[in-house]
Amino acid sequence: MSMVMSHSKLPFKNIEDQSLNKFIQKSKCACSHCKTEIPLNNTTIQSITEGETNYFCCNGCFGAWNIINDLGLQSFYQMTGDGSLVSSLQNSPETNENSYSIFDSDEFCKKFVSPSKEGSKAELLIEGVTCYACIWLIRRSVEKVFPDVSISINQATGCATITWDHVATKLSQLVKLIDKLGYKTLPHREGKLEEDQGELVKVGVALFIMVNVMSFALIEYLSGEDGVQTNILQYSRWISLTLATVSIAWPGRTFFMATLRSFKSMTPNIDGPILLGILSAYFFSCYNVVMASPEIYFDSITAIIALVLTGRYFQSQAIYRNRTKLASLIKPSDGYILVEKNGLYSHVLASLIQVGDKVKLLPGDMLPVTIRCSSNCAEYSLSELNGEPSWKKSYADESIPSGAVLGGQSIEGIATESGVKSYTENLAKLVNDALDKKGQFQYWSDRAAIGLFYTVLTSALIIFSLYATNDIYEAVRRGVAILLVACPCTFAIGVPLTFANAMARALNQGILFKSQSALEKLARVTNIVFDKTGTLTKGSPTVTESVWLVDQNLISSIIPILAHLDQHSNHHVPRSISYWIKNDVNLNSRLTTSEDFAFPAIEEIQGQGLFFKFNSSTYRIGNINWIRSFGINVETKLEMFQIFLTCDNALLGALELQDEIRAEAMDAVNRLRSSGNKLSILSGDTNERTKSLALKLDIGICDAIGEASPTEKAHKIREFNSCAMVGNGLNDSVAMAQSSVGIAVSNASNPAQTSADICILRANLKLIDQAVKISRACTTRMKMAFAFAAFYNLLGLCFAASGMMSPLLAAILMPISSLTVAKIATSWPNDLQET
Amino acid sequence: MEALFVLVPLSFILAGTALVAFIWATKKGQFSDLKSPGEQIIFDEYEVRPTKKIDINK
Repeated sequence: MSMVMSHSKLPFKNIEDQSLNKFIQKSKCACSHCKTEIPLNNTTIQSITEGETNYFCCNGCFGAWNIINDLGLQSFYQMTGDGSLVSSLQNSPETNENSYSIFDSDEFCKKFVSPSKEGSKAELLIEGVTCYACIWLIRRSVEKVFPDVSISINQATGCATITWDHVATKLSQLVKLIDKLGYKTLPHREGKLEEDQGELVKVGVALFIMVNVMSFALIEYLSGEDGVQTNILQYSRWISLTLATVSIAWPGRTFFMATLRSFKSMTPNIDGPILLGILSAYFFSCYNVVMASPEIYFDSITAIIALVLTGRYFQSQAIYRNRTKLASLIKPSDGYILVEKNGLYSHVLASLIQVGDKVKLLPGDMLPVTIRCSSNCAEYSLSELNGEPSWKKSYADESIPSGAVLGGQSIEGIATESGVKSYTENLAKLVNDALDKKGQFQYWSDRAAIGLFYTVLTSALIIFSLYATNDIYEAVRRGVAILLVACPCTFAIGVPLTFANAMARALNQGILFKSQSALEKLARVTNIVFDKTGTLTKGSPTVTESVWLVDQNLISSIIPILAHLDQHSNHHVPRSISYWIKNDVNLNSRLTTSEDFAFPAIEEIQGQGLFFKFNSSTYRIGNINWIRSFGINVETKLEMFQIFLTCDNALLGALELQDEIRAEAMDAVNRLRSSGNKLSILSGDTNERTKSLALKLDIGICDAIGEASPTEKAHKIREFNSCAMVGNGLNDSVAMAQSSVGIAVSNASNPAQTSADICILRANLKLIDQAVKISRACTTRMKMAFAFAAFYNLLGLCFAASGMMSPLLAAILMPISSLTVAKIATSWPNDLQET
Repeated sequence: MEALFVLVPLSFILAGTALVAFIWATKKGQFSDLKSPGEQIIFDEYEVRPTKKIDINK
């Protein structure tokens, strides 16, 4: 629905009736809601309240402003200052009643709503929550419109918990309100909160017991010198024993469960060795308490449990935070999808698509559900699913799996599975993928810990059998000391904590590492390949020049079609043409406002152009080579133009589009070069343009390759050893999947963000260099922690084997080594600190 | 030294209370969002103007 057409439906007053003087003086004004600067002409939306005129850039802003104003929440605008926060919000596409009513459907309730004391409870992921002002606005609005609904929003994750009375209030109305304010909502069922709180309680209890047992251990250490009475000593030992038992039984249960799992799956993990160390030391100490003989290790046992659990808690928090960001960034099924109902297409939440729904997908869309294609010859790529870099063709009545990315044409089809099913499966897959990619360090750390365990077990057994014949007690003592001191808890703390720290720091700066392996791989990268359009440049080219070779009246008939190109393609060229026509004063006056204008089917050829049939002529819009391939003559003086319009065999006109380089691109490129990376550009644009950009950015001409199709990009990428592909579009996504590390910039399309290993969340290319630095620092820290852990364990082993390991030494070494590793993991060079 | 037999259990009762309070606070979700409550104080001063009845369906 175009802006111009939909105006008449809204109760706004037109410009003629008031403030004519103002209009004459001002040609530009700021949108009252998002503060974007907008041209002031007769199509600008206005509202006059209490003698004050407000201007709006779009109906979405107008709607949001109306709600905020009617609810008396105008102070929101004081909070948001220049409006830079509000402008990050996106207004939902024109939705009709059906798309909301599904929130009340039984299917939705079954999947996402759970009963609670106050009625019903659901979790929603709210996109666009950037600061407390957003939370304030949503909460106050909901409180005012629905007094009986309670809503709490977690600022860190953007996850809202809503409790409401199912009979009195409809969830659809609530979602609609939040939607109208400019935030998007996605159903979300995590159940993570309770699990999380359970973990935190365990960590708290473990630390509490550790501190107490340590203070009782003091009595033990002092007992040698100033003669603590035996009854006091025994008293303190029994207390330590009780506390340690609680620690092993409650927080320490995690180790039992993990060991059990590893036995079941026959894959050794780090928990087994830790558990063995803990248990052998525990039983030896218990024996000593009962027999009143010296040496108890309860302090070491509780310290191991507490510190390992703390490290893991921080790791899981960091991963969880990244994952929630990820879920809101790359929804498994991308928000709203066009679904046909009674002959009309409407936007429907993808997770609410039902079997048998007729859906329409635009070029570049990712399929939210498996569909049976009803259009002929659809091109799609499965690179997201299996990394295969080729395009597949599908004909009518064949099915295309969910997760496939569409090529250059829009298709229609029938859904063969429900959106909810696909959504939940994809979410689970997304989460598991992130978990599985543990990375090499985790792998080697686990291997080393297990290798160490076998060494330790063998040496413990040798020492034991050496002494067993003479003194069985001494044999057990030395064996236990070895098992305890060589317990791989430094490994168990070092790696998770370093990763957690690096990921959390990166996320605060706007860099999302999807997995630990992404961090590691980026550290090894030496080549960085950039896409041009949208990555190094702003990606929204503007039409700067136009030449018409025929009478303008001839063109008038297709102007409305050109203005609607953006609804048929996600490519930036058609979008900018639409934008140009809608905003050009001479051209937009010719836009037809009649609703029954018959729009022809528009087909897109990847990387070439698009065509449509209208009034029995074929119109083509595309690049020079494509146009020439139809035998159309283009004069030399027109060759500098980028996009050509033809009707059958006649050239109608040519357009020049220019795309500005991002302001910080030069700086970012220099930084990356000075940190030792080789830079290249790989673009689908012409060789000439690609090379001229390379010149501007001081990148070697030979390293700038133009005219590369998506498949060629993927082939070229494989020629590089360890390279990072920085891109933003569908045409880069295959190459990104093929490179060692894919990096998606801030405005990247959904397929690009999905195939990327790293997502840059802010519009700043310098963050790529920051990401490289963080990954390298992380790797260094990891190696240090690794070396230290290995050194400490071997040293401890020698001491324990030679019998020099007194409980005092063990008790001191154990926490000190763990804390040293923790310190290494969390100390960062100053230039990587948060800014 | 015999005082320890009384003082230690006493200290446990004290520390145990703190532990129970910690567990209670965690279960109540006091630690789940550490960011927004801090900012909330700043935003509370914004007065809310009287409201009109609105219909979001319009």
